[in-house]
Amino acid sequence: MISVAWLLLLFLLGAAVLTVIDSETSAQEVAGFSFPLGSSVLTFVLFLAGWAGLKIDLRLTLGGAVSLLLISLLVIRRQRRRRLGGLAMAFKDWTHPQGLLLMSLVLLLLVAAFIGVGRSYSSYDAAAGWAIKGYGIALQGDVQAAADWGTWGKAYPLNLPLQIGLFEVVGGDGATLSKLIFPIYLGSLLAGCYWFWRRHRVPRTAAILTLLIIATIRLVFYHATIGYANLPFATYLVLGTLLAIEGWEGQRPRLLAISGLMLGSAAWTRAEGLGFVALIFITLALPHIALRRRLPRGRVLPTVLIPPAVAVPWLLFARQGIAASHLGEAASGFLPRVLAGQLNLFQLYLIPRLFAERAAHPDNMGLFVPVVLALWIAGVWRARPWEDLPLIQAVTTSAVMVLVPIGLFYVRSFTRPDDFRELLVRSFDRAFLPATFMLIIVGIWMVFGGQEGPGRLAEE
Amino acid sequence: MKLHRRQILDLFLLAVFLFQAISLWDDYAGPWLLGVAKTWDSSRQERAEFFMHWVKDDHRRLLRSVRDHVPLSASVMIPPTGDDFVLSDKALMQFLLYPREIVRCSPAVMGGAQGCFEYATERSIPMITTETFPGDIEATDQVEYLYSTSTYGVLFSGSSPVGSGE
Repeated sequence: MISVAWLLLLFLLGAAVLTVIDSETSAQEVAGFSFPLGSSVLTFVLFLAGWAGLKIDLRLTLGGAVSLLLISLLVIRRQRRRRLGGLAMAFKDWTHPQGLLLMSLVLLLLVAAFIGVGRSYSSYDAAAGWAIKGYGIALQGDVQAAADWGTWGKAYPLNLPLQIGLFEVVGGDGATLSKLIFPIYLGSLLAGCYWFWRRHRVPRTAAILTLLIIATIRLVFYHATIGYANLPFATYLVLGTLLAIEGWEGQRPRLLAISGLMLGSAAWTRAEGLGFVALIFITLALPHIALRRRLPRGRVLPTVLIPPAVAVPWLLFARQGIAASHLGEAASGFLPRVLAGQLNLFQLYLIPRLFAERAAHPDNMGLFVPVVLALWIAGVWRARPWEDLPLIQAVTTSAVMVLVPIGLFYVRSFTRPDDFRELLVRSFDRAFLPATFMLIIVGIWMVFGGQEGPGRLAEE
Repeated sequence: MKLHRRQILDLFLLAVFLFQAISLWDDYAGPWLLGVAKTWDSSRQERAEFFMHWVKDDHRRLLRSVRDHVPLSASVMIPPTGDDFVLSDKALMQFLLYPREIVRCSPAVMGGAQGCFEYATERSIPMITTETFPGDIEATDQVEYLYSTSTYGVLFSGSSPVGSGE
């Protein structure tokens, strides 16, 4: 019960932060963005407090969460914002089949939650990496405990370990209700996709059916149950990108500030986050420059500044640990070997080939490959994505999400020559999660976008 | 009845969803739901062990014995890296025996297996043994097995504060 109340508090905190940033926030946006934002904002504040020497205990955790919530509510009160569109309004003209599809989606998430909680942290990285680091921090009340508990020392950011550890602090995590955060991340991501599609007038039935398709991709569903950081990371990255595309030239520039927080949260979740985010920003800006338009500098500043503002404190905290991490070792081993003439071209070919083999098998990724191919072929023909800036940005950021994992594993091939194939089979699929989501989101947008009249959408 | 283009596309999406849902149920969700239902009342470590395919029954019996007899505030010594995949993995053992402190035998620092044994007994730290660890050592009279099978055991010195665990 305490754990459920804690989840609700994180959701409320995120909703309040969202509303402080953008008083136009809709019910759909609250549903999609609140939990990921509330969680990462709180863990980051607690990390800074812990690093400054405060003990991470029940008093600090609850005090921090409630204080942040109250401050946000005070700011909202001063804003005299318009009333949040009610949930009843959001479901006003839904048909019975659409309601049934939505209930199927909720049921799927509940099944994922049941399996996730029941299987505890039974995958290696989840148990020996993310969870035990959080429990260790909770036990000692000290963020420096990250160095002694679990694998990887301080090489990875503490967003996820702290999220798990705070359940131990608040009420004990014997029942592993902390595992509920993973289906909630998936639910948030799906709600964010729905929000994005509906803004681009994708018909509701097609939107919900595609959410069901995403949730039943074996890789996606599996990651909603096992407790790895890849799904939360993909959620932050994809939602941050969609918000950036939406806010870039749209009527609501403040969406870019929310995007900045999401992308900053990605940098606060995995070590490669900041580099990934930097490339996403470049691919958002490049089409703009190529179309000879003036970059809206004032607007995009939050998207540029927030991720490094989040990542730099962690980089300072973990500077020695990062150098000793897989990524640090790979990066330091890569350049000297390339300069010596070693190119690993076979490995570069092996990465997409092996993934294509695995992705094409329905047991791994359902019908992802044929569906994405069909959507993109039909979509490019229909939407002509080279004529519209947001679509160009969506296509270029999708390309980044495909290429970055390939690049990361290519770099790792230089330091893992003996077991590179096993490493690919074991780890590449999950590194491809952001691309998995983005390719479907953009494909659906290209095929179905603009098919529903704006009048019907205005009510959502 | 004539179908519109949008309805055909919706039917295509519905077919994809149904195919994936059935496949997901058969290969993953169904079997896991049954497995999870069986272990629902167990502790978080026991549930994790049950689903970790690399943790064998022998490991589970040993870990249960440690959890039953070694206090939460105590330390436990584990074999050196590479001895036994599960028992020598410090991070994994931290999770499975949380919140006990895990001390890994480091032969280079502690002076071989004998050194690790002496380190543990001098400090009254229960020590997990395997078929190969600590091997031939000179044990004192005060040392006895808290738990012992043909493959694994828990050694401790007679004066150690071993009592009820969880």
